[in-house]
Amino acid sequence: MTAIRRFIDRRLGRGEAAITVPILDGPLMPNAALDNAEVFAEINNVDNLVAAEKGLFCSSGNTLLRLRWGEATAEEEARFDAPISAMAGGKGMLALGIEGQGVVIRGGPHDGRCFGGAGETGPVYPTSLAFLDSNTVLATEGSDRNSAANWRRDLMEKGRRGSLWRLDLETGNATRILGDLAWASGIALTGSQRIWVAESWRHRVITVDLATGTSTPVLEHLPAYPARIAPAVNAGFWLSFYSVRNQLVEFILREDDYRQRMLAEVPEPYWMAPALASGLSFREPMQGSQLKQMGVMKPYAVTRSYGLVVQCDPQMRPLRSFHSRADGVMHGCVSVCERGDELYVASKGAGRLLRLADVAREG
Amino acid sequence: MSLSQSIVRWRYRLLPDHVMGEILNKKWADSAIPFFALVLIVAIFGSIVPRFFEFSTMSILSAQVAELGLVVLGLSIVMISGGIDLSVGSTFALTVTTALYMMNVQGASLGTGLVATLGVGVACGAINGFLVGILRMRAFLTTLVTLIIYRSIFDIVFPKISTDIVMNYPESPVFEFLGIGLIWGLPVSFLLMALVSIALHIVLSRGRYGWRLMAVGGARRSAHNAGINVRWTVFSAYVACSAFVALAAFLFSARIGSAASDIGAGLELQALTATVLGGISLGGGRGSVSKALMGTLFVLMLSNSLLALGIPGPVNSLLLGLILVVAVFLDVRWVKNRHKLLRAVYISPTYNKMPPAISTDDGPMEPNDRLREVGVIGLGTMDGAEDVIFDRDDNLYTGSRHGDILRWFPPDYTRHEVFAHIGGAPMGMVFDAAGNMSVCVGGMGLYQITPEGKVSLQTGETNRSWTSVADDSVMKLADDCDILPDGRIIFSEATVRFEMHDWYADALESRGNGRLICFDPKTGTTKTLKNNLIFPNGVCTSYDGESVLFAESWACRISRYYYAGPKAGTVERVIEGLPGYPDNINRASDGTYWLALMGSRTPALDLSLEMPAFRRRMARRVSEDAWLMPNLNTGCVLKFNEKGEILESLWDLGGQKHPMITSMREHKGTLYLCGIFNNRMGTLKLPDADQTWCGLDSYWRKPE
Repeated sequence: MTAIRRFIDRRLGRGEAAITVPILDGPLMPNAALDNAEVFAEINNVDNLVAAEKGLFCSSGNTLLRLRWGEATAEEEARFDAPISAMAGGKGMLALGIEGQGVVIRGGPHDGRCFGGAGETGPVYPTSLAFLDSNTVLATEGSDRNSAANWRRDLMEKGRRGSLWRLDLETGNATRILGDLAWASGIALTGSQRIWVAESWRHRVITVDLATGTSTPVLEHLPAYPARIAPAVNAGFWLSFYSVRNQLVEFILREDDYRQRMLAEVPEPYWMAPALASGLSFREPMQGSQLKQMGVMKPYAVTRSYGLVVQCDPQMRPLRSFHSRADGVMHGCVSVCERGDELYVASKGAGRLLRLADVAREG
Repeated sequence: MSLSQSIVRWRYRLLPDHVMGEILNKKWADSAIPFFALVLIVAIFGSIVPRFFEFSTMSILSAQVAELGLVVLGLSIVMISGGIDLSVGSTFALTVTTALYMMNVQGASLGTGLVATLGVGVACGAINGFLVGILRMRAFLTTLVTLIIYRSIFDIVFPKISTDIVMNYPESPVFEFLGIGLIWGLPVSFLLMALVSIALHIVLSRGRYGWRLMAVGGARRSAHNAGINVRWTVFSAYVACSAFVALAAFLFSARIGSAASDIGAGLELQALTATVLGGISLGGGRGSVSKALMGTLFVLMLSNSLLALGIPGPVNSLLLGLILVVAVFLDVRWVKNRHKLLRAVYISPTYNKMPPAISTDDGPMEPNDRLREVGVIGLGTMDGAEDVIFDRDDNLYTGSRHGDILRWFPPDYTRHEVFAHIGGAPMGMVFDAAGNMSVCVGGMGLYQITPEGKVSLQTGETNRSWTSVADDSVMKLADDCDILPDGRIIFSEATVRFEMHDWYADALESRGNGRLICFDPKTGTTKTLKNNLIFPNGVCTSYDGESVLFAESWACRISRYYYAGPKAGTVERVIEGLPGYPDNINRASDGTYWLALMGSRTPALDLSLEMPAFRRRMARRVSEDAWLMPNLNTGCVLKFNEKGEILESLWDLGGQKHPMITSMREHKGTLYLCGIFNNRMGTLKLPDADQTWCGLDSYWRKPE
């Protein structure tokens, strides 16, 4: 019966075969807030913002950078031999996710503790980290096959190999709490045993009970691929996103022949897939509404890259949002952090660190 | 190439799916449903009704077809005009009475009887027509009322003359022959009906009256705006309908020779079922004679067969009513969803594997920013300048989206005037020796503009190709033209399958839908030179005096067509595997050619060109806004020589000022850049070029 229904669905584009994408509406109504924001610093590949006493930490590829509060120049703190893919701060410590090498702790009593490196259990390609308490770190892994930088490949391969980990800093034990996630990319705490996890390729945020390991979807049918979740001062959350969903991408995800040949034959930058930035090369694919008319790209054109940051309330319900649309450039905003009344947004696609003054206080 | 790819390639070469959409687009494709219904009923009843296929059954059937058929044809005329006539049954009764009274009682000749019968019919129709057409009352209610009125008149008159009718016999032997005579084994009445049908078919499908009827039924207000006399047309439809009914009544009288008091009762149901079942839309504007006849046959076969099977009359009527409901339901769904189905079936991509692209990493095609800082003309004023051309006085001519040819004045080209208004979408332009401009107009054809600005059509039609399903004689998208030394104009028609605003659907198909056409102004003849070209776009007469160069956009190649010399009529590749989609070609001052690449090839799209089924599903499922399309936001201008070697290229990376460059023209040391979707024209100084060179001189030599 299911087989028949599936067959009919495929013919008619219903059910699982439906390629409809939810529209940006309500609290997600598009604006140009990210394009209008102050460009605080220009840092190539800026990502992983962490606010600490000493300043704002961020990553740029393999290097860990620090910006003193109020200064826009970055100092190099450390350099690794692989890109930094996740970062969290707390209790005088920094937890760093290094591509292919797992999680490393810097500073504090557990300085130098490693998880997921060669011969160790733990997440090999961490995508986000959070301190549960001074002795425990929670980590997500997008996939145990594709590195965090290879998120586009994992999306187009329909990856379902993400997981959630509990890392005990005292004993060095790594425990897998949850597996089979479609790219777990963000994590946030609520103060109880329930935590939030962003599951990107299923376009949703789920809540996980750490005691039992059970999960329930909370925020579903998002029109974009959620990336990280950052806490807000008012007990709410900041959700950042890789990019918006695109009807053609949804379609290609259901077209296995084309999808597999594209992955195999087309160079990655030219894939018809979501991206952190687009329009960099004339070999990138173009979709109908992206054609410039009268010298103008329409802001409402469909797009592969987009900048989106959403503020949610403590129950993970969207309140308002900040956008950079098809005609903007502040795309791929995958990390945000709040400090005082200001919100810092890392536009990884544009290589810009944005500062939105006075937005954290409102809302 | 792998086996599976070869299979795909041959499958798309051998099975032309696009024909399916073209067949469905045909007007007669609508008849498919009633036709299959008819086949079905023949198959069913042919097997269970005894003597179904015997001659006597057929003979009776054909006589009945003649009578009901005429009524249905009449009703069809009214329904095509957007109305309905419920009074056909009562009119039938009145006219039968008239015919019998004239022929039997009065002993009139055939002519007199016929005229009297038709007269009564026309009078009934005229009343309907006057009420509905002239006074503009609702057709349904009005004819329902006249149904009752005519029936009452019949009920009053008939008893008084019924005895006379039965007691007497017609004196006219021709009348008798009309009723029972056979020619070639067929009833005379049937042959008569066939004749009438053919005549009506010609009038409806080819005649002016038929076109007006369809227009009024399809869109009353538009028909009015187009200058059609709507009231008169509707009036005439009712008159024609009743005249047909009267003719049917006359034949019926001749065959039966007497009448009962229930004559014509329920005829409207039978006729209406036949019409709707045949596919003549209740909404008006659609229908044909063949549909009406198929509906008639269906209804008659059904009711005769049920009669033969001994099913009582009321059940018969009940079945007819049920069928009518089903037919009405199908009609509504079909009219509502037809265009969706058509659109889904019409676009049929084909296999078009691209050769590897010429490298843009190094060599003459290496990207640069030479088009970034160019001069600008008409910023914000220009809209849809696809091509540009200069006359000897340095005036600049370009088209606009509003269908104007604009003339911009030297030296700075800040002032302009409307040189001529054509309509359509002006595209490629050329000047002949006498200074007349020829311009390709998308959606219209090739037009000529005299130096005084007088516009005339040069050609809008070419010869229809023998194998075409859809009529491809009318030009849909004349694109670029150039002139031969003898004054003939060769121009490209990018696609015969899509209108200009659907150009991206043609890109999706990537089939050879375009052609190269030649127009000879001396004889006024138009001839297709080459068919099955993949979006032929730019055309440029070569310096060699025997060939023209033309670009095929979606095939990314330049070819040469020989119009003279030993290779006349043949095509030769000049450049293959361009890294972008070629548009217009024009002459350069140093004896080479300029070529505009309107966009760049992208690996993701190139891959999909090998997967037609993927593109077809995309066309059906994904919104057009999100379709994978050629990347037309970054293009370039390049220069190539007679041998097809690329010499240099000029780029605007990212398409910041000049996305989608559709044409360029060199004039006195400056290169002018056009874009059909741009709001400006760019100017690039060419310091090394001949500063006195004017394109016209290279065609017609410098004036003495």
